[in-house]
Amino acid sequence: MTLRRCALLAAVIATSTAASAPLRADVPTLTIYTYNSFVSEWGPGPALQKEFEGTCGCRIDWVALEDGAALLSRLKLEGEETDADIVLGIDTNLTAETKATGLVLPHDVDLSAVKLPIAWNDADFVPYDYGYFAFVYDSEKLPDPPQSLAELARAGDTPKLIYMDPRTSTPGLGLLLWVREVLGNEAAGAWKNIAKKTLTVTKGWSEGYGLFLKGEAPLVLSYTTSPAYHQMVENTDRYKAVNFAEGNYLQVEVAARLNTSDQPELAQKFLAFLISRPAQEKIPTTNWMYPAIDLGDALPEAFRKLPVPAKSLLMPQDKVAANRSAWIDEWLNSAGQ
Amino acid sequence: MSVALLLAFLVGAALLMLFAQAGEAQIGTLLGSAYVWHILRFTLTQALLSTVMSAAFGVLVARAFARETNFPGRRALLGLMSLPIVLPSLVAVFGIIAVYGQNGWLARALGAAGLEARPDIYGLGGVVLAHVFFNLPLAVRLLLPGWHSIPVETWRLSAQLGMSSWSIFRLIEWPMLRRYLPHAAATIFMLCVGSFAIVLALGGGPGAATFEVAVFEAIRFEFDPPKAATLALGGLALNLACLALAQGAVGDAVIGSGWRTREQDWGQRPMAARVLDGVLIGAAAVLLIGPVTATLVDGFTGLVNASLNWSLVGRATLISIGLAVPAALLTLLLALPMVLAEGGARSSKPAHAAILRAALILPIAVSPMALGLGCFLILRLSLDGMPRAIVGIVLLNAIMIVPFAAAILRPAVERARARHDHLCRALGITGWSRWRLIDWPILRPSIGTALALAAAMALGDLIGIGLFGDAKLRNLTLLLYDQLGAYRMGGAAVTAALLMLLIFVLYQVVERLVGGRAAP
Repeated sequence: MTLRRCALLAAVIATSTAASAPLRADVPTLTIYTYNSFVSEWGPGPALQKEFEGTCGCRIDWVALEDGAALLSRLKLEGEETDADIVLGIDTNLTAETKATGLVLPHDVDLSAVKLPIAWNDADFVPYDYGYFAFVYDSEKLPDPPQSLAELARAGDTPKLIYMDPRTSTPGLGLLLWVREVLGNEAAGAWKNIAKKTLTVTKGWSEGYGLFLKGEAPLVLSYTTSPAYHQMVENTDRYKAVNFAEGNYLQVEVAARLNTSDQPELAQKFLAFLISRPAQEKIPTTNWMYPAIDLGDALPEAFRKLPVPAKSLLMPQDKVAANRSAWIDEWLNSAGQ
Repeated sequence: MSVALLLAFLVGAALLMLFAQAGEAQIGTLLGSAYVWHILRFTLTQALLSTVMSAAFGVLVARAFARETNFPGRRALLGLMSLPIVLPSLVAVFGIIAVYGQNGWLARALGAAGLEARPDIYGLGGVVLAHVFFNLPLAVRLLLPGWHSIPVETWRLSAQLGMSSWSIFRLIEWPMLRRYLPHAAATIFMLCVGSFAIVLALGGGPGAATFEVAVFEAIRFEFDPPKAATLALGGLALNLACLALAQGAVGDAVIGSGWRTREQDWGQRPMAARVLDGVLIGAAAVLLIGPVTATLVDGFTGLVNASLNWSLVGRATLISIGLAVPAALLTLLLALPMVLAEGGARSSKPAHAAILRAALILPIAVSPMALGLGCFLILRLSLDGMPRAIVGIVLLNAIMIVPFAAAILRPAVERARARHDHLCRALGITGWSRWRLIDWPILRPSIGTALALAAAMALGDLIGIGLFGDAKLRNLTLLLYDQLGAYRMGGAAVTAALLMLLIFVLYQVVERLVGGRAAP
């Protein structure tokens, strides 16, 4: 009886999931590899899909992995046999490696509308949003947060902070590069001091930010745009980001089409759509990042009011690729003892 | 035997697939790396500490449960004991932090009492605490059948002889423990070696990292699958050494062949002993119920404050169940024949039995990340799209849960063999009629428990569903991560509580329906 019931249930679910996928009719399918939060209920994915499918006479098939690093790793594993037409969600620290796979097809998209803190004329990658890494603090518990990386790296036990592991997460890697870019060879000493203030180092942003919101520590590695979420959705100014005196490290998220795709034109159309105004208007309140084009007054007020970092930092790609491992060792040796 | 080979083949092939990828792994470089040795040291330290604590406390608590057979809430508490091991690690971490964290219940209680002291769980202590939370209940579940295997006649005899509590331990319980404890401890050790997100979240710094972190890094950021496989082999070697040690420590106590082993009436026991039992059970209950209650309370608070899309939750729930039930059935289909074959081979072909036993434990001895990725690579060869995702998730979960199902089934199979083998042979009862008349009635409760555990574990799957990444297949665990990733802490708290409740309910339902009323 039980087994029969279970089997029945399984069958019902299997058919319902199968039925919910549109039939493989003759409409072309665009397979896009991206990260989970892009296609979740709260991410930009669902709205973009609706908009694009309304005009393209095609169907989008998302494959969602954990984060940008997982995307690249999957792409490398699959190589030329990949199903992906587009990969969306690689960040600036991984573009060089992505290009090195030899799978990227130049996008052929007019980027004249793109407006980023840095000049962008890359023929391979289309930027769709950007943000600055920043420490976000709980103003009720920490009225006077450190104002610079140097101050953060000063000796002392407080304030307690949470950041992500550069071995397992992109924000963690961002912080590693940020420290290195600002402090250079003093990075090792800085990590020793930061270690004394560190409550814990988490696997990913979600765990770290979750612990922060649970009140475990008053300071957490996140983005300058995080407070916009709290203002717009939760109506609170409690959580704020600090712009460090030395500048904040920039993260640009990009998409690319692949040369293994059998529909490069459709992929090109999607990439052009991605930086069109209708698509870009959806980015701020779903991905909680800055849009890649100037939206003018269409940019939500909470975003317009966010203080913009004095300086945006970004390391050259080849330098990152060449030193990542050595800098992680440096971090381990300084912060890990 | 063929199932065993299949399982070993799958695990081996998964690792081989990783080696077949391009990469620069060199065992020499890895062996010479201070980093690898550091990770090895930390992995060992935390795993040993966690295992010793879980196992020692587990023996005491299981013993208390075996003696106190009749107190209100016993069954519910034992039911709760199966919860931690199947909880997604993130849910458990947040539960533990809600109780013991900087801003947790304990910290606030200390503050309210005007005390300066605050708990500090970030560091080795927190890692071990979390691992004891996960594994103490597992130890109790694995050891309790040991006490149940001691025949009533033995207890009666010990009472007639007026044996002291120490003599009972030395002459009756210790030999039993030598059969059960080594494998229970080895299982816990391997789980702690493979632990990952918990170690990072509670470890308090980069020094706290296990082999699994290095495997992850090798796959994600270094794009070096062979290196990941090499590191996974290192972890496997560690686990196999531990298994060999455990196998060496197993005593050769004869399995009791008495009839009634349950409902042992302990008669008058000294008050002090009963109080001690009470304290032990109480302590385990507090350890267990704290984070569970905190998760429920947070979920309820979230329910009041957050607006939820219930159709999304409902869909995720259906997908979770729809994937978990086939995975549980497949787990049983893999585990039961192997455990039966192992039981059959034990006396006649001990080498065979040892191979089967090793194959049964293999999936938790191998890095979950490496195993998962290897399975993905194998399935890529023949399937794609949604079918690949469904087959892959079900298969991967089943493989990874087989060791747990086997650990539940094994004592029952041994007992059934010990009691009925001679009789069945004498009466010539074999095959289907033996299964139907003799084995099924005895094994049924354990099959129910194994199936329940498998379903509950598969319900909390993240590795499989995250690996195959079909955007239409989003289970509750992934929904939880989606909510966290979108700043939705309130909604995530509700999902965590729901997931925990669902796991608990599914476990109870399956155990009772399949296992019948005799289920423990």
